[in-house]
Amino acid sequence: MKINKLSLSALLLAMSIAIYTLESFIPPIGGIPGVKLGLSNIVTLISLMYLGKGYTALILFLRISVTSLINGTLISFMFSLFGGIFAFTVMSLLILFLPKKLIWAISVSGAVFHNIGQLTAAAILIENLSTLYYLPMLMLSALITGAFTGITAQFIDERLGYIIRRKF
Amino acid sequence: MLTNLRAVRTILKSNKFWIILFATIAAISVFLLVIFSFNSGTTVQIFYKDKLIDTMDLSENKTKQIKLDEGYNIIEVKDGNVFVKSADCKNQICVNSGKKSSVGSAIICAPHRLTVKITGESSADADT
Repeated sequence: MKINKLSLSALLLAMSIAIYTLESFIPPIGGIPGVKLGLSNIVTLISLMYLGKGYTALILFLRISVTSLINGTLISFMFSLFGGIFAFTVMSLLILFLPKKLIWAISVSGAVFHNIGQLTAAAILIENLSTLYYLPMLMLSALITGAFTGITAQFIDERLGYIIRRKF
Repeated sequence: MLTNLRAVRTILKSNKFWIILFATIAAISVFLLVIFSFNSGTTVQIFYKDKLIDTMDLSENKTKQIKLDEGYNIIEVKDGNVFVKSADCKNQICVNSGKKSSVGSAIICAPHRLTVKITGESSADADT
């Protein structure tokens, strides 16, 4: 069944790159950096559910690298990488002991830590803690967008989960 | 010990726990945002990394160009608001951040490692 896993992960990677690139055309809401939908988190959640940690880490890292090469700078790469590492660590820990009906909570936690990771990257880069001013706004946006992406992933699991699970 | 762990696990597995946790975070964030927006500042501090390189008074309209090794930022104070008018950075996040006037708010230009921060203490106190 390794070929199946490989092709599903390739599919998910392609999807996440496409989603991320499309999303980058949407300007950040209210001009606040970091406030965005984070739709590619849906793909991360789906691959965590069906493919496990190893594949997900690989998909996430490749997605960040490729999208930074397409449309980004070294700084945006660092921001994405920090956010990605933080979110992945938290979500892969939580998925170990939380049931499927709590995918939304895993997603929100991931989004919250994604934004904390990005603020950490910003604080390291500009060597100034005034980035913390953005924390409340980023937390609010993470709660909303994380719930949105998590519920979407939960719906996908309900509707399509049986197809994917039969194959793997 | 084991029973404690089991109790923690059942609590973690309930929808309620997570809803309460996230609602608390949301409430704290809204509270902080409201507090921030009520405190209007007096002085603009401009930092390069952690060094204070310049200050501006929020009560007088003025435009300043900050030149750094990484590039330039033009910072303007107008009618009690501060904003970055233009910059030669790639992502233009600082320009798109808009106008700021409350204490603690900051405009950050990460590519230039520049922070524009508003404080409540007045620059006149520091001079005299």
